[in-house]
Amino acid sequence: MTQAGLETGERELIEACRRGERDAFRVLFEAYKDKVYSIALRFSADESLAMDIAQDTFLKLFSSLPQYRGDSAFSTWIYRLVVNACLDHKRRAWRVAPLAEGLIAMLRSPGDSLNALLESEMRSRVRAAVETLSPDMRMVVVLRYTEGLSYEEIAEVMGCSEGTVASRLNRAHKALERKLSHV
Amino acid sequence: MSDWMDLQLAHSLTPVKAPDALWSRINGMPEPARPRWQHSFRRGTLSAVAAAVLVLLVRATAVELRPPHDDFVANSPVPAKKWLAHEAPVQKVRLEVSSVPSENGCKNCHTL
Repeated sequence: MTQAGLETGERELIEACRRGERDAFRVLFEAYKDKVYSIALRFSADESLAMDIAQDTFLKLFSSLPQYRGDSAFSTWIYRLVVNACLDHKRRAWRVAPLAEGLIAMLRSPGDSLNALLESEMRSRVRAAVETLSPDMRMVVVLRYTEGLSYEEIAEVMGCSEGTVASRLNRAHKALERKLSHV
Repeated sequence: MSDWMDLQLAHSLTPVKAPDALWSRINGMPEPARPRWQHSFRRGTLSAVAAAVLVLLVRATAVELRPPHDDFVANSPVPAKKWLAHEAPVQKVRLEVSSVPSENGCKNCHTL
């Protein structure tokens, strides 16, 4: 991802999008929809909000493609868009976090083994704990664990230094460990 | 940073598939905005065409409003008579213009 510039196929795709070709938009959407939605969902922990964030991200992507100059990798540019959309949504509206999400998921699958239920419960608790982190810390955690980005890549996406990324991640870990220590 | 925490985060924050409804939502939105230069280019083209049409209309109107071209101009009846005799094969012409004092003219110079 850190390699600046585009592959030929991707460059042609972007050019087609700039010309307003609808099919090209669809191809671009298919290539990045899961990444965008995953970040939105893991950041917001709300499916409806994640849909709003993903929609905003793609609309922003399609409308601002002419401004993309290829200075950074295209995926970095998309990550920036989704990160900004997440943080914008965070600023605009807040909601009551659905902490019972894990419980509902558990009730939906009564046939699961006890172990699976415990794992599911643990995942819900971890996600709930992640939700309590500050937006900047949470985004670093999501980019690291959902997308598997390196410190360098996260720094490029978030416009900060690698040291800041490491510091945020370290503080996030400590905060999460404190919250989950009773589990 | 504990391995346990690392593992828990990796398990809990796995990527997910985007719902199919996402494309429907995006597809239902208005067409993506065209680049600004395309807007200005199109606007400029339309302006140029509109200006050209306006110029043509003004010119056509000016032509319509212009007085009809005179076939012949004279300040006395004699050349008028000659011209009429030449252009339309008539020999006897009576001029009734306000500048002519009477039907027979002034008898000196305007007698036909």
